[in-house]
Amino acid sequence: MNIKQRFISLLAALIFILASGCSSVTPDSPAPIAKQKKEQAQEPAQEQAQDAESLNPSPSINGMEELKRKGSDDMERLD
Amino acid sequence: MPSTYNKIHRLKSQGWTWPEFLAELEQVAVHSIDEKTLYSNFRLPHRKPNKLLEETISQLHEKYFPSPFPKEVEGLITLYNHLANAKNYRTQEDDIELLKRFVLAELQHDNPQYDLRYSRLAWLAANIAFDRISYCRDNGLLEKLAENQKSALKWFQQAKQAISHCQQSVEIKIEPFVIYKLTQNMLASYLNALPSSNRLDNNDLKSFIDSSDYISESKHMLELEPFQWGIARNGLRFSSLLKNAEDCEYFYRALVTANKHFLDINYQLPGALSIGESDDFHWALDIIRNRNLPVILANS
Repeated sequence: MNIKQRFISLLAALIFILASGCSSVTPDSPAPIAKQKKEQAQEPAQEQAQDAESLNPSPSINGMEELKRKGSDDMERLD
Repeated sequence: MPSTYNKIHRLKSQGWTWPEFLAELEQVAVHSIDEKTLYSNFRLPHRKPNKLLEETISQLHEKYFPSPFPKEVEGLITLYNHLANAKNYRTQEDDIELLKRFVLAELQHDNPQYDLRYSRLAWLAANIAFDRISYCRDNGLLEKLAENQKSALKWFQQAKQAISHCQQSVEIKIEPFVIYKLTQNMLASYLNALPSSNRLDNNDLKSFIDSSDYISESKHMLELEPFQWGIARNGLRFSSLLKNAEDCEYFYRALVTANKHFLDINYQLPGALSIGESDDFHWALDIIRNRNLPVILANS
């Protein structure tokens, strides 16, 4: 096999790989950038949900950690 | 329990050099303590000690400044603190209630002995009620707030009386700081029951401070242990709330003497507001500015 033939077979292999890759993407699949944008849009919604959770009153009667997060300046007890 | 920062300072104030301090630590430490770690925890009040340093310093502190209270009741206090600070502990409230019932049953025995055991159990009963005050205040549970405040005050007072009783009848050395802590806890029971907006010029606070001699006790403690920035900060807070300019200056100077980081009014400790942020200190800040006391006001 000379150099020209080897180059042609390598090119054919590359075309085959590219073709098989494209065929595995369904028409509904978002392009990578579109997918990334969709994920970014979902993040604030998730953060909001977590914020809402953290604002709910704690079931703990102690509640000291909750108060400090809210920025109170209560005195700590001394043991 | 005093913070690791206070324990290091108390141990160091015995006159140890740093090599002597490290040699003492070597005797109790499981692994050797790095000199830089020790020194940075000595200098910085906001520094959170690692577990090894915290445990080693506690052991050394107990060796030179042993608690006057019986070990089994100290164990209960530790148990309660772990329970109260546990996260995602499903039966936390129920378990605290069970512990409280046991403690109250011990205290309400037919013939209670007013000894150090009784005092520490009363202290624990007070702690349990005290820890509920802020939660009740912020959630509008006014009846429970009054009930817990009353209970905390009653048991802190009982603890104090039992210690005074022991001091008279038994030859036990009890450090002045022990009594001071109970006075401060009683004052905290009044303060924490109030929302920040209702603290200025409050009559309950005023009458307790006048009757308890809290300000002079604080000054006395600072003479004995000038590193106690917490005492100076609270002294400044109450001088501010009661609008006493001379005491504001005294406690501010004591605070920056305890640690120069407090020269920056925005200096923040974990879990607490800076002096610049807290409403309790607003009146004092005007005094600090008007009297040209040394202060870093940048970004305020």
